Amino acid sequence: MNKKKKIDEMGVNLGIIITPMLDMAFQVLAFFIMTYHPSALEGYFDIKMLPPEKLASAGKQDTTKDPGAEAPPELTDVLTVYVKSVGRGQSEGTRSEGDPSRIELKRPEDSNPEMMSDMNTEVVRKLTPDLKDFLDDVPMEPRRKDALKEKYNMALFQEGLDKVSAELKKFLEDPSHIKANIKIAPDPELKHKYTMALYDSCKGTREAPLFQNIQFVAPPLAGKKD
Amino acid sequence: MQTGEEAGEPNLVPLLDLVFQLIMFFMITVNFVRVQDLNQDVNLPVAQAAVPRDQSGEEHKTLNINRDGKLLAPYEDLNGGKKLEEYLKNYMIHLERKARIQGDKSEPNPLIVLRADRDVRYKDIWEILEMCKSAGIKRYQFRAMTRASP
Repeated sequence: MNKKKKIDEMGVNLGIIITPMLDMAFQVLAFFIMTYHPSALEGYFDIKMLPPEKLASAGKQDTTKDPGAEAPPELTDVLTVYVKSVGRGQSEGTRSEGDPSRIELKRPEDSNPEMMSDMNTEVVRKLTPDLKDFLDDVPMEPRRKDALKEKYNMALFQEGLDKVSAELKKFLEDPSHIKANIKIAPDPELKHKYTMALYDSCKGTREAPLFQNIQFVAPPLAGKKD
Repeated sequence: MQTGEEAGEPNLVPLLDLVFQLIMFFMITVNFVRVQDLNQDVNLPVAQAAVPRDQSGEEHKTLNINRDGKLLAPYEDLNGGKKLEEYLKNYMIHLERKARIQGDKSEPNPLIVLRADRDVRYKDIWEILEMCKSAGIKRYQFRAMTRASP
């Protein structure tokens, strides 16, 4: 009515017609709402692979023939972090096959890796069975029980990783190790989440970065089927 | 002088402002990823070192791996034997042909994105990586959650 009145008075309506614009805006909004995906938290990082035989010559010059990713830098000053897992069909307290058991660190000058964390220490050995019994006795959904066990196992592992991080930090404080590299050598049976936690520890935080060039060592049985 | 009719008209301008702000938010946060690439059955591990998803839109294949080390949709048919390797070899040949047709003489360098379940074994992931490597692929990425879901 109003528009009609204006047109009648002035002949032409020069005002902005908002309604079609609003319609369009709502359509665009609906499109974005429908295509919005909750996986926005997903992130990525590049993988650098090393063949298993190079593991034996860690610390020496690495002349990788076919390294997988873009030609990696010459590995002259190499640290290797090993994570041993609970063996197939075995269990250690709350930890079962695929969960971590030990963390070892081999520095370039070391002939043998040094134990960083043994998740079967006396304290853990004493406490874990109680926790396991407690969890087994308490009526709870199996999924919730597994989640609690997983949290406990991850906390134990993280404790070991904190020691590794402290060692790595100490190692990098030496100016002669400025070009040092690091390799991650998880057990073939180790679950992926622990490998990622280890990667995180080697990478450091944004505030205190450690190694930028982290390489994954092939498991000793790579290529062989069970 | 305003008539009663004019006073009752809703003011659409603030509403339009709000809608435009919402559109801006969604435009900034939108991820134009192929939804079929993201298999919701995969429970990704957490890695704070992972950076928000690369949106360069480069040539890539996403492999979803479940906790048993098996490939999930859309490549569930490639489980077992060297089917994946064969598929990727053909994919590389296809990319090379496509590049030649477009007059590009450089070697194809696609990216393999691994969305591996948090409980999959290291050896299972490696086995898939080995097949990719045998097919001539040189670039790989792990996907992880940048923080634990609440």
